[in-house]
Amino acid sequence: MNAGLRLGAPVLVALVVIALWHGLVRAFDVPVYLVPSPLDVAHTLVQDWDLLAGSLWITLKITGLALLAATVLGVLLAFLFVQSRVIEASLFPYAVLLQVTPIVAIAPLIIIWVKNTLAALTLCATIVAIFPIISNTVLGLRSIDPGLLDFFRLKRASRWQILWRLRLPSALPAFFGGLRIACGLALIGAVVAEFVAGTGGSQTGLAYQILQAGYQINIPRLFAALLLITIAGVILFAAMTLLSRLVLARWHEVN
Amino acid sequence: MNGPPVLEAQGIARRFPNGVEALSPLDLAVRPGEFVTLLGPSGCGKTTLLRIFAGLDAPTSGTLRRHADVDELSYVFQDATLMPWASVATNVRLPLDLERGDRRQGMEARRDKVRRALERVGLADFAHALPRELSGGMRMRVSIARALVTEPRLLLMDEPFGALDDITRQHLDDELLGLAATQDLTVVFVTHSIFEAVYLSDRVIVMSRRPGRIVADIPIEAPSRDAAFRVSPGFAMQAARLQAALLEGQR
Repeated sequence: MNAGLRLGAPVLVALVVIALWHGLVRAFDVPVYLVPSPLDVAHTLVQDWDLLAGSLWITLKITGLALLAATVLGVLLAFLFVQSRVIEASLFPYAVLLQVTPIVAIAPLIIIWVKNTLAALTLCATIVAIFPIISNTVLGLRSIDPGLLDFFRLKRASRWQILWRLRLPSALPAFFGGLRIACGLALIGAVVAEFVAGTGGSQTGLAYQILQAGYQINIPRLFAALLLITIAGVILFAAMTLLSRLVLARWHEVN
Repeated sequence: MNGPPVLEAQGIARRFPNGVEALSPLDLAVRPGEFVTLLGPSGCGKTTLLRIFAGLDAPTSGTLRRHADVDELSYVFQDATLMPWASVATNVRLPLDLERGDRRQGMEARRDKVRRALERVGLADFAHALPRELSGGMRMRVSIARALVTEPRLLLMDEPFGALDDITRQHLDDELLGLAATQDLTVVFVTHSIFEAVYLSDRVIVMSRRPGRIVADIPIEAPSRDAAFRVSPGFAMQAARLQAALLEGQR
């Protein structure tokens, strides 16, 4: 499949859906407080841009901080796990516990316990995003060529040399797979935590705008906020994919 | 082939933790400059013996004396075992990069040795290639260059050409003989190919099926190591002797 088709086909689908959406809303004269037309949404996006952009920035900040925290903590935990089977056996079940507990169920507690709202929301999003980083990095650090490990041992390589020259490079493909999943999860975690927190004031993310727009039956703004979240998610995912392609270009043929 | 043995195994046996007896007690001495081949069926413990020689595995009983420091020893695995993310030159440089303390040489000296090692195996033009861009035979030559770059006295090779086609294998056999002759190497070579064993070796150690023991220790007479030797009656007769010893070991 050529690049033009890969880019062109989804754009074409989007145009068709938007045209259909617009046509149906106009044809059935659907009121704007039920389903706004794409034009209404676009208009709101421009009109409320200052408000929405501010909220987008807050949500992106939480997502970015959570992704950073999940990456740093997840990689450190993964290093710890591969150093000893005992440590992994003792701690891994709790990592799973963290993963299977719904964030909406623990977010209220975290928001009560952590005074700073930004820190509380970041913590929630980190909890959501960390698991794929831990599990993929552990998998990557373990999946080393046993022959190469023998070679390093034969040459009396230090633990540090084995980690730096063998385990780390071997783990990169799996790590980036985990990072791509984690970036989507960090955004979801940030939005869900904002929903639960429901804080007002100036420091409000897109989820709060959606809640408020819902209360005020300002459906075009709700759609506009939703659109921004989606676009942010897609851009994040694309950025991670690009990053991993750049770093992993030596491992695989870029397809 | 003078001086004390490079390797001296006395009563070496190996039993795995799961109870499998890989090697029954065996004695073997390898003299300097010798090309010794361990020949036996799959699973007869020849790889285990080679790993014990390298110090990658320890015998359950018996003693091994190795008159070559671990730095004077190189090991070539069944697969090329190259780092897929690193260039050919970086892969070959690895054993030099891993050296620590006083032994560690400057980058220029290391690069120079890599260049010479790659020239020796005919891959000077591929220094910047990645392993996946090379054929199986070329990858194996990179692996051999990586083994030679430390200028070892003792080269241990575990079925290095087993995964290659016959033509590539014969070509690499010839290259290996050339390298062994010019480098004053002692080689212990593992194979299950009778023809490869006759063609390469000064001496062939025929091993029985598991638990491996030495069935026969047969010196190989070769007027020359070339295509003519491969088709000579002497070659066929010695191959037949090895075949008979192998069958004996199966009983």
